[in-house]
Formats: sequence, structure tokens, C-alpha cells
Amino acid sequence: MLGIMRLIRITAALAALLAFATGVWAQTNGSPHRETLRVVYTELPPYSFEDANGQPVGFAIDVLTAVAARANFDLSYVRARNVTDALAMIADGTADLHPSLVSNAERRKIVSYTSAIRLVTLSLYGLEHRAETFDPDDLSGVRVGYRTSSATDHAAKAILGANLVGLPDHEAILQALEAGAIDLGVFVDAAFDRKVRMKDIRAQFARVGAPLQATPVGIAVSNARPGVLRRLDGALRDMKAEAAYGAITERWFGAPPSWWTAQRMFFAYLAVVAVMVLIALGAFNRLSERTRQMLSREARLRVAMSQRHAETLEQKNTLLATQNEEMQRLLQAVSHDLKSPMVTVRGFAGVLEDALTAGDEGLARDACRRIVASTGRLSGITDALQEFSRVDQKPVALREVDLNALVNEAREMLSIDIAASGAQVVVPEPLPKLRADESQVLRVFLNLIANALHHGCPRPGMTIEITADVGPDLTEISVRDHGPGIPEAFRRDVFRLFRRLAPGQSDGSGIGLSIVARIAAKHGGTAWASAPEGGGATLHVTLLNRPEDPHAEDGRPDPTTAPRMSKERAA
Amino acid sequence: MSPVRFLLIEDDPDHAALICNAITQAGRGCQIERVASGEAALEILRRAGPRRHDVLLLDVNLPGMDGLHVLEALKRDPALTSLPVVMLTTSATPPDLEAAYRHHANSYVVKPASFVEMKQVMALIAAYWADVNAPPE
Repeated sequence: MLGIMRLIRITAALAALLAFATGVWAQTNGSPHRETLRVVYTELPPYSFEDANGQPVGFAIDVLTAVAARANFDLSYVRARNVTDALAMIADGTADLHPSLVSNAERRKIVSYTSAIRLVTLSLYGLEHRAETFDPDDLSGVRVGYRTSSATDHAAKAILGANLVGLPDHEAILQALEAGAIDLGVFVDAAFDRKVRMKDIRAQFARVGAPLQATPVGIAVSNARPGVLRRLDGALRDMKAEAAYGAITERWFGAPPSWWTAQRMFFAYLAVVAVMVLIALGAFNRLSERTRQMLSREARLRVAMSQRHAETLEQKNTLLATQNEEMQRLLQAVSHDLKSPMVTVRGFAGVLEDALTAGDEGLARDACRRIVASTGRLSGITDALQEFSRVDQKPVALREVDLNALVNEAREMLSIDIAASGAQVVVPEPLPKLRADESQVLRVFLNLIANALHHGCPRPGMTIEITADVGPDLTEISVRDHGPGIPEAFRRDVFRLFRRLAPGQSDGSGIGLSIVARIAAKHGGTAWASAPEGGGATLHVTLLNRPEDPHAEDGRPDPTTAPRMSKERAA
Repeated sequence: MSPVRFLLIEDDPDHAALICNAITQAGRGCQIERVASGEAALEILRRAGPRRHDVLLLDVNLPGMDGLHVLEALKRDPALTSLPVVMLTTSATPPDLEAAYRHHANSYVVKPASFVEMKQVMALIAAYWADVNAPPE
């Protein structure tokens, strides 16, 4: 009896299971193993947008439909207000993929991308009647609007020197352009015309210059679905190799350009990567100035094509900003440091006049002495400024230099000052050889030793020690004195222009250590000060170790300045 | 007419000599004490209090702690905030001027290039602070 009851129960369960399976089978229209992917799309014409019937259409939608069919997926669509919402839906699992998204680091936390379905180009647009007035090669000072948190963000930041204005959406950029609040705006080319038409803006716009950036765009699949990504990407690659993909491209963008095949794209990417590597290796530096000028425009476009190079540009931007700032500081400091001896000269000329009237010979002599000393200081400052600008302008001429020989030369050139201070310059251990600019490294030793003599040797019999330490990337040169040391608060300042820490200005132009810092920077290193154990101060300079490169143009000695060095004195 | 007691904070010995010379020629039996750094000035003032000097002549461009920082420290110190401070500088740029007055400088003087003007300026400063500090009749 019990056995029969169990049999009936099992049969009933089986029947229910069968009924459920049949229901599912019926719902999925005959393919019980096909999965439905939930696609979230945004208004990104012509890649994805809603047609008049509210149906998703567009190039990316067509590609996705074809790819999904190949990979055995069904698709269901939901429209998101914007990309942020779409990504949020993918992140919380209510959607699986987006048909066409520009990749960035933030998005890659949520989605992974198939290979590219299309390159998106970004360009600058301005009011038509003003477009001609902009030089696309030099946009310094031009106000450029871009959409924050979009691909235009990145493209805009790669524009050198422009004043960037971040705006919330396309409409705001168009309105700002129309109102004259900004000069140019960054837009995705394919979207621009449609945007202008959609927003019902009457002003006429024109593109300025060549596209700024080209970004590959792929299907963005939730990181939670690696299997789906693999299957879609496989199908996409198969499809690209066949005519089906070309047909979709043709339908949306006209005849496909001849290079738009998988193979050609591969070579195009290879070329871009090759250019990147060449530039990264510094080959760019070795191109002659003329070639560089000719290539600069094209190179800039290519450079902008990768994030890595956008970073390079950003670094250059930062460098320019730093140099600008330094120039401002220089001008201010120069005006003060030239004015100050001027006040002395004119002031004591007045004192001299009074003294002569009063017949005070002692005062008159004192005034004359001070005037002579002040004019000497003035010429010292102009000499040091000339040296500073020479270091700044001259390219680094790399060759193998023996640091021992340079220290000896510096010692000889400073022999009078060394003797006057009663100090000793010692090299405890032999110094290495390295590839660097000989005259500039000599200048480093001259200025560091002169600085140590002025500030680190208050009484006779003190020593200045010079050491060098060869690391894997950098060689560190250290000059230590046993003087009063540098208070911690000012250690950062000592390498800045016209920063003097000791009262009075009877010695030093305030430029010597800035020259050292600049030379270090030109050799890929830095300069800093520290407080060694046992008192005194140590000034450190690092220089990048550069392997021998027989093709380097910079390797030749520069005949215009090298021989003159031996006659010069420390700044 | 009481003598005016100056504290000159100036690192450049030539400028200090010029200013001392100009003040001496202003008459009134002015007394000048000179220090070469802001740190030294603060130390002296904190030790001596506000009564030893009538007016401070403070150079803006000092090595180490610069003049504006010294000014800020003085005006924040309740014991010294009443001491009149005249900023001395070679810079007449609006930001420097604004910074000085923001930190409650009592006056701001651009070091005159000509010695004649220097004497006039010092005489004016001496006369002004002598009157201010004169005991009520």
C-alpha cells in the first residue's frame, strides 16, 4: 500500500516537471536552450536610438542582432536615460550588455568589451563664421567646452594649452557656443549633426581642424557574464571576416572604406602601436627639427589615439604649466633681485653726495665701496641668469664622462674660493663614469661646491665630501658639508630660484642651485636637500643612467659651449 | 618731542645702512635697533614686549621666514599686536600690497630708489609715530 502511494507521488512530480518544461518550451518558441540577453541601450545615434515606433535601431543594434543570432542568443531591449543609468543596470544585474560603449577605466570595472565594431572620431566644432579664425595647431587660450564624464572629456584634455570648460551635456555645449561663452566644443562626429538638429539650434556650426581622437568602440558585456562576452566576441570576429558585417556598415555609413577589413585594421593598429613604441623610445627626439615640424600634426593625431599618449600630453601640459609658473616666479624674483642692488646704488650715490657736501671722507669711501659691491652683484645676477637660460635652452649632449675628472676640474676652477674659506673638498671613494652632458655635470659640481663653501664652511678647516652611488636607474651624486645645515621647513625651497636662506646677500646670486635642479631635470633626475646624521647638509642630485646609443644625435659634443666652460666661474 | 625707537628688520646690510643713515638724518634723536631675520625679530620682541620699540620697519623679502609671515605672527600675538608695523619692500605689486594690509600692516612703503626720497620718507614715518606715541598733554 505504502509502495503504491510512493509510486503515485513520484509519477505526479514527474508529470508536473514535464508540464513545466513543456510550458517553458512553448514560451521560448521551440528552442529550449537559447538564452535571452537583456540589452540596455541609450540614445547614441547613429549607433543606437529609438525609431518612430519606439523600436531600437542603429548600427550597433544591427551588429548586435546579427552577432547574437550567430552566437545563439535571443535579445530583449530596454532603454536607459543615459549611459550612467545603463551601467548601473548592468552593475546590479538587471541587464547583461550595452551594444556600443566607448571604453574607459571606470566602465571597465563593470563591463568588458568585445573587439571594436566601429571607430568613433571626436572633433572640435565652432560657430561657422568664426571657425576660420582658429588655428587647429595652436589652441592655447581658446575656450573649449567638453562633456564631463564622456569620451569628449579625454579628448579635450589632450588639447594643449586650451582653457577647458566642462559642461553637463551636449545641449549646454551648443548653447554656450551660440552664446559665445566658449569658442569651441568637442563632439563625437557621427552624433554632431543629429544633436544640432534635435536641439533645434539655428546657428551654423563647422568643424575645426582634423579629428582630435579616434576611439575603438565595442559591445560592452557585464563582467558577471564572461561566457557571453567570449561567445559574442567569437561570433563578431567570424562575422567581420565575412560579408555580413560589411553589409551592415554599408547600410549605416555608406560604402565601407577599403581599409575597413579585419586584416587592414589589424595592420592599422599594429602601425599605431609601432608609432607609440617609437615615440616612447624617444625616437621622436631624433627626428630632425624639420621632419618633426612636418610630422607634428599627424603625430599629434596619432598620439591622441591612445590613452598612454594622452597621458604623455598631460605630462607635457603639466610641464608647460610648471615652466610657465617658474617663468612668472623668475620674473618677479628678477625684478626684486635687480631692484634691491639698484636701491643700494642710488641710495649710496645720495649718501656720497651728502658726504662730499659735509666733507666726510670716511662716509664717502664707505658709500663708494658699497656702490662698487652692488654693481658687482648686479652683474653676477645677470651672468647667472644667462647661464640659467643657456642650461634651459641647450639640448643635453650625452657622452661618457668621468666624474673624478669633473670634480678635479671644478676644484681647480674654485681653487681661490676654496683657499679663502680654508675648506677641503674630499672624494672618499673613486667616482663612477656615466653618460651625461659633460659641461652640465661640471656646472652641477661647481655650483654644489660653491654653495657648500658659502653656506657650509663657516670657519676654516671644514670638509666638503663628494660621493656618488650608482643605482639600477639613477646615479646619485651627493655633496655634504658640515655647516649649520638647512632647517627642514626650507629644504624644499633651496633649489628654487632666488631662494636664499642665509641673511645678507653678500654672496650667491640665488640662482646656482636652481641651475643644478634644472640640469638634474634635463638628465631625468631630481635634486633635493637632506640633513645627514652628525650635522651639516647634504645636497643630492640624481641623473638617469643612459645606456650607450650609437645612433643618438645628442651624443655629439656641442662645440659652441663646451670649450667655454673652462673659463667660467661658478654662479 | 620724544625720540622714536625703531626696530629695523632687514637682511640686506646695505639697505639697513641706508635706512639707518636716513633715519639718523631725520633728527629727533631717533634710535634704531637692527636685526637681520624675522626669527630674530620675533625672539627679541617676545622677550622685550611691545614697549621697547615705537615702530617696526619690516622688510618683506627676508630669507627663511619672510616679512609677511613675521607680520602675521606679530599681529596674532596678543602681547605684540599693538606694535605699529611699516612694511618695507622693493615691490609695488598690488598682490603684495593687498597681502600686507590683509595681515593688518599699519603702513606699506616701497623703498625709494633715491636717497633724498628715502630721507623724506623716514622723516615722515618718524614724525607720524612720534606724534602718535606722544604722551597726552
